[in-house]
Amino acid sequence: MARVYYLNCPKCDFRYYVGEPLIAIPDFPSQCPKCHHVFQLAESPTWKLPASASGTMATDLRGKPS
Amino acid sequence: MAKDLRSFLNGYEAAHPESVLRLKKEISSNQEVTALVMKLGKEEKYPVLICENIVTCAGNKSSFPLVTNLLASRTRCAESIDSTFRNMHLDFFNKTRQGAIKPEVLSRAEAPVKQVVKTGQQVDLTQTPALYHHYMDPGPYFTAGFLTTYDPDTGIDNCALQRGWIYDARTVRCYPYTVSHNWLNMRKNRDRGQPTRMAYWLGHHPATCIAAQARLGYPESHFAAMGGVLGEALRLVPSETLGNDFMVPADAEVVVEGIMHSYDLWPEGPFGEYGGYIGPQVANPQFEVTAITHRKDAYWHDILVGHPDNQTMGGPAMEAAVYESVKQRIPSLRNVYIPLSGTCRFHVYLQLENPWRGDAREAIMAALTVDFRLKHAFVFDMDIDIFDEREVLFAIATRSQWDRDVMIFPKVKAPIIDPSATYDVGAKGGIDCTKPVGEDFSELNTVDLEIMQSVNISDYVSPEQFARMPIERM
Repeated sequence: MARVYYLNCPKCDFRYYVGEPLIAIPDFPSQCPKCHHVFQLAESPTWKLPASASGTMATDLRGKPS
Repeated sequence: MAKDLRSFLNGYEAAHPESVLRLKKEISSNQEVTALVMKLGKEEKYPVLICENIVTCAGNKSSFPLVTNLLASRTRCAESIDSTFRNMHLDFFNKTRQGAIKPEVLSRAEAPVKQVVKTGQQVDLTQTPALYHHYMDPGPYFTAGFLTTYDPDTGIDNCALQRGWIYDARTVRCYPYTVSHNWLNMRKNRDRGQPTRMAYWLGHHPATCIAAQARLGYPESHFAAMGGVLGEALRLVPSETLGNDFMVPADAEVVVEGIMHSYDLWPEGPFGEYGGYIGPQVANPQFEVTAITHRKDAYWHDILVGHPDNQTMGGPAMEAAVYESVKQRIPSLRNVYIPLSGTCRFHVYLQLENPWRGDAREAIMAALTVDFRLKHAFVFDMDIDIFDEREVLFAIATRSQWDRDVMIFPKVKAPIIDPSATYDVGAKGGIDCTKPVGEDFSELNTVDLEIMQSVNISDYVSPEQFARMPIERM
């Protein structure tokens, strides 16, 4: 599984998770699945950038063909 | 008359009225349908569920009835392709590989899916009964929609069951998994600086849905393979807004057309995945919906992803691929079963008849390279019924020694939806549960064959008393 990283929505506090392919993209926002608020991961009160987030995951359609 | 979803439902309901649940009671598209199907499954009941009064995620009563759990039963899936529970691997292989049928093209006026045509601002996907399946989902999803794109080099179609979040009335965020052929088509278009035309079609004869899972080369037409399994040419019709060269199934219930103008990525998910776990939110592209066409009284087909409805339908295509690949190398292969217990993706049971030394281990290696999702292969003799997991576990318990019979292949490709894998890398393995070739081996407890054949339960127990005996799962 793409490793999962829990966070809470800064607006409605819904707890969910994002995957490594998302956090590997610099400054890529998350969107709360409950209230649909869009925010930077650092805005989540429970977000902690994992040391293992190496940035090696695919950004297939934005980057060079892999 | 062409085969389609309603012809199947009519015939199936007439033959098996007990296996079709028509729900007139109002039911919400927000997780209530999922909960009902999960509770029925816990009781080992897998009826087709037709919800005639469904409330959309927007809170309105939908004009479309919803059909779900259609593909949850392996017996029903087998019946839809004129096969049986135990022969699906062979019949699917024969129909897709040896019997592909070229599709035929209808005019728009002839196509049932064009009975209602809405384009541009007339389209509002939030009024469909698309389900909100699990608690962490961001909203309603296409789950039975076969996302169709064309290879820009050859014009050959590709269809794949790929999820789409109905983000708003005319925007869908889809997940073209990065090894999929749809993704290859999109990547070609992106590299040429051109948009990708795409369409979801949903609601068709179950054989069509099962056939669309066929493991084909790239580029290779799924429409021809579908015809082979369907037993007749799949009927196609030109799209409304994507050009006359973009064909969609004419006998689908609904077609949603759209254009991916840019390849920017957006947050998409979390989403309950086929492996049975909720996949995390990831970054995916979105497309603008340009048209919806449907029948006047269309059914909205939903597949409950991560439940038997979704898992069962994927098994036969993979079984056929395993059969094709392993049989070439191990002629003693007789049967292949990819069971629901491994989500119809991760475990494969192989049955060999009079294997020669080394056949079982060779079969394990061959099977595990057929598809990256196949994780564990188990090989058995003909006296073990591989379709009965009690016998499978018995053979693992009594015919294998793990220091001798287990094979492990570390650090190979794995599906990212396996929560135990390290992203897309994991381990595969197999267990040889066959009796040693050329050596004496203990016999199973049994009785003389003629005595076994002469004993019928009905000679000793009345049908009523037999029906009253509790079934105990042990």
